Parts: sequence; structure tokens; C-alpha cells
Amino acid sequence: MLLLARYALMLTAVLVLAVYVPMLFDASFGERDKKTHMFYSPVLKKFIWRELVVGTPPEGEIEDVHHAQYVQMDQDGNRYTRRDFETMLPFIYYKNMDVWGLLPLELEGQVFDKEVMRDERQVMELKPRQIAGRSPGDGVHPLIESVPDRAGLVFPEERFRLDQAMSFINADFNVLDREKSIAYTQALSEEGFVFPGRLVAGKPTILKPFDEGVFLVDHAGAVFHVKQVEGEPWVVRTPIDPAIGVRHIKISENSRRDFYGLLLTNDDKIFVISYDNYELIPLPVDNYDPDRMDFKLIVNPLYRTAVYSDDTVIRAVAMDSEYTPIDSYEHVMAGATPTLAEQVFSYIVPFRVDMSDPNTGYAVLRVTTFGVNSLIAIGMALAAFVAVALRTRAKGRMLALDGVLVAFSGIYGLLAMILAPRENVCP
Amino acid sequence: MLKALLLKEFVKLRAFWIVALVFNMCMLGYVYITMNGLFRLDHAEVVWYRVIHLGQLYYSSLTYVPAVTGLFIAAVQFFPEMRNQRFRISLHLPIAPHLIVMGHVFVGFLAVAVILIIDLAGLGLMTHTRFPGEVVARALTTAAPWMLAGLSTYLGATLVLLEPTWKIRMLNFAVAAGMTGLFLRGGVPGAYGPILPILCAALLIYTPSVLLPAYRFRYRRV
Repeated sequence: MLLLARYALMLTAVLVLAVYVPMLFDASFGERDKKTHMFYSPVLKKFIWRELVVGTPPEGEIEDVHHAQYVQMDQDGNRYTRRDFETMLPFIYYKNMDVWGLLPLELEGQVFDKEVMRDERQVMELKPRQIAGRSPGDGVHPLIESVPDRAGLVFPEERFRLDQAMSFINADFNVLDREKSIAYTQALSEEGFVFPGRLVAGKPTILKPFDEGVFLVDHAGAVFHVKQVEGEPWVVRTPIDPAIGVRHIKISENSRRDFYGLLLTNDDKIFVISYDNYELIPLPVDNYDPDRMDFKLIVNPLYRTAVYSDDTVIRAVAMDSEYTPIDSYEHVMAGATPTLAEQVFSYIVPFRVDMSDPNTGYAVLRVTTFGVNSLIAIGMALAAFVAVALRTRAKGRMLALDGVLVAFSGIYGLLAMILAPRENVCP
Repeated sequence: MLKALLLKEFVKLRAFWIVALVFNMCMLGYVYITMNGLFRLDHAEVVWYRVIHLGQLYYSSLTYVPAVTGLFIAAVQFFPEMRNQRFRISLHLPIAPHLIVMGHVFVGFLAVAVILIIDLAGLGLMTHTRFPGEVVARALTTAAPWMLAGLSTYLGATLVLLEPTWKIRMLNFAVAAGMTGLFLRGGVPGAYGPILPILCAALLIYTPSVLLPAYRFRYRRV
């Protein structure tokens, strides 16, 4: 019983240490934004990026004192000041370009003023935590009136859930709106919707230029576009092939009305859903893993750029306005290189337990080891354990069990032993 | 004998338990007023948007209530026992010390757990009056780790109070505080859902540790 009590406390201590020691380390030595920001420059016709300088930068490399921790460079190794970097990306930094008097700008025989640049740009992101099932979901969704009888969009009084029917619940009374539920369920059934539904995708906010309703995926995998138009259901069964295996759809209304949003499939392919009869346009992204990688599609009047990255590598594909790939690039992010502090830390602790993960909205208890360094950390902890055991001439079953604990938990186990010293425990 | 011991603890804690229950009921009442206040100040659909989509927690004032409850019950249960080392008398009763300690802990743990279950039920019921089932489920998932924090605090406070030496008492305090902190890390509403079973298991592993200081106290390992 005593043994049980002692190891119960020590195991708890190991868990607590493995969570809080790394947390304390991150708070003390953590770096700022470690991700590289990559773009395709329509001026240079090259990939260009901005990233954190790790370690001591070479002499003369940093010119812009205010942003001394960052470096801007292109794929040929040329470095840029912050201002030069921004002028290489006129569609992104068009407001600065305007302030600097560099607009209108002539590129590839076309002239772009501030208004055109503003109206013709669009950015869509898809982060792992935004994918259905990777964060706690809303469960009930609004269907906003797409043709409101006023200037702006208005929140509807109902939200709907999609299961065996499309059921609307009135927020004022928290009761089912039978009439509306039947109307929409029937409208969907008439178009061939197979209940229960699988996925609801929309942008549930009124802070958008207009409303495109929601996209629903039925039990058979077919994609339906549903809107409320002047109080009535408006349902379209899209020609998107149910066999494609839709995993997630992200909708974002944009005044360009070029595409509704992004569609991700179960086999990690990503498409834009065109306004042209819901045609799916594939984005040529090799090695894209939606569960680990942030994805971004940057649209400007001349090019489309797909940028996607995990913690180590950032990849980018530049496309023309028809989404035909013209160039691609891959870069190991400087921020991925462990700092000196991180290297030292990996020799001290054998593992870390994290309770949050940027790739999911859920809390986790994720154990991360540091490869060979973890073994060295455990070796050092074991050596200390044996040295103390020899010096104190300790022996017995509890000593052996302590040894096992240290062999699995390294320095955490050693520290836990201070909490429950063997000699202080009665026989 | 064990039955008599449990009865003694029940009688000892009864009045304090009612105080703790009243405190929890007052907090639930406050949450109810807060929730209804939202609907008075804004249209229902806007309140739904804020709660469902933006993750507004009208019950955030409940976050630390279980922890305070656990601390209170442990304090009123074990402070008197440790004064003048009274607990030593109980520990010399002719039953195994671990049964005596676990008997005490069982009663206290149950006292805290019953209050926390009432808290969860209250939160669920009041949410149900204004929101759809999805929101009720998410509110319960959000508040569940806070309730576990209450149980963790009870165990942690017991661990600290039973320990006879100051040095180890401080170390126990650090572990206890760290353990309770694991349940209160925040995140988006409902984030703890998938790891609740693992955290329950961790709490179960943690439970027997309160025997260690009790043994040290019983055998004067000071």
C-alpha cells in the first residue's frame, strides 16, 4: 500500500513536471513568430520571403533596425530592406505603395491603381484546426437571408442543425420552428439530399459583403448549395462528384465572385469551388498534409500563389490567373532550426508533455521526445541516480523501482524522488 | 468500526457541507442572472452567435468555484484533525491505517463530488432553458474539467494538510497546485472533451498519494 502511495505521488509529480518545466522554458526562451512568410513577387517573378533571424546575423545583413530580428530575401539569395521587400509585393502592400507615391503601377503591360489592387486581391487560409472535427464545432448554424430588404446582412432568428432533417431552432423561444424545418427538409429531399447530413459549411457572420448561404454534404457525399432567398429555401444540387470524398469546405464571400471557397478531400487534395457552375479547380500542391500544414491561397490581379507549411518546410506554387502552375519553390524555414537554448534543453529533459497543439482546437496531452538527445538526458539522470545510490549504499526493491522510473522519466523522476524520499518512508 | 468512522466524518462535515452547497447555489444563481442578462441586453440570435460562435462564457464565474469548494471541504475536514495531532488517535484504531485514511478521503471526496454534480446539473438545466442541446453539451464539456479541478484541489489540500514536515509540505503543495492547474488551462469552450478520460485516469492515479503523508504522520517520520 505504501509503495502504491509513493509511486502514485511520484507519477503525478512526473506528469506535473513534464507539463510545467517545458512551459516555463518556452516562457523564458521562446521565440517570436517562427514561421516564414513566403510570396511570389509579380515584380521579380521570383519567390520572396521574410523570416526570423536565428542566432547572430552575419555582419551587415540587418539594415532595418526597427525589425532587426527579421530578414527579407528572395530565392536567389538577394536580401532586401523592409521597404524594398514591400515594393516587390505591390498588391499586398498597396497602401504603403500609395503612401510612397508609387501608384499607379505598370506591370506586364497593365496599369494598376489603388482601387483595382484593393478590389482584385483575395486571401484564403485553411489551418488544420479549422478543418471539421479538429476543433469543437458550433453544432447549430445560421442561415442568413441572402437578399435582405435592407443595406446590410441581418442575423436570422433561427439556427439550424443538420441530422435526420434540417431543423431550425428559434432563438427567441428556444423551440423548433416546425414550418421552416419542414420547408427546408422537403426542399432538400426534392433535390435528392440523403439524410443524415455530414457537413455544414458557411461563414456564420454578418460581417461580409454579401451572403452565399451554406454548402451541405449529404450522407452519400453529394454537395448541396442552400440559401434563404426572400424567406424561401433555395437549393441547388451541385455537380460536384460525390465520389470525390469531401472532408471539409471553407466558404468566404468575396466581391470578386471568382470562387466560393476551398474544398478539401479525404485524400488531401484541395480545390477552389468556382462560381462557374461549381467547377472544382485543383490546386497543384504536392506533399500537402492538411492535418499538419497551414494553407494559404493568395490572389492578385496577375497571379495565384498557394503557400503551405508545417513546422519545418514552407512550399509555394505560383499559378497564372487560370490556376496553371508556372513556378514552385521549397524552403527550409530558418525558424525551424533549434536555438541554442532549445538544444541544451533537449539534453536535460527526456520529453515534454504539451496540453495545446496549434493544429487542433482541442486540448491534448501530447508527449514529444527529442530522439537521441532524450536518451542522453535519460543516461545522465540514470548516472546521477546510480552515483547517489552507490554513495548512500542504498539497496532493495524500491531502489530498483526508482531506477525504472528514472529510466523512463529522466530528470523528472529524479526530482520526484526528492518529493518522496525512500528513507523517509516507513517499512 | 469503519462504518462508525464514516459516520463520524459525515456528522463532522454535515454543517460545512451545507455552507459549501449554499455558496455553490449562490454562484449558480449569479450565473443564471448573468445568462438572462445577456438576453435582456441583446437580441436572442445575437446572444446565440456570441455564445455559440465566438465562445462567450456566461458561466466563467464558475471556473474556480469547484476548486474553492474542494479546498474548503479538505480544510474543514483535516485542519481539526491535525490540530494537536488528533488524527494520530484515529490512526491507532485497530484497523489498517490505509482504510482509516481512505475512509476519511472517501467521505470528503463524496461530499465535494455531490456538490459538483449539482453544479453541473444546474448549469445544464439553466443552459437548456435558453439554448439548444448542442450548447448544453458544450457547456458541460467546458465545465467538466473545472469540476475535476475541484476534486484535484480536495486531494491536493489533503496531501498538504496531512504532511507533517514543512519542507515536503511545500513540495506537495507545488505538485498539488500543478495538478489542479492541468484542469484549468482554458482553451476554446469544449476543448477538454477528448482528454477528459485521460485526466480522470490521472486523477485516479493521484488519489492513493494522500496515504503517503498519512503514513509519515502515523509513524512519526518527521
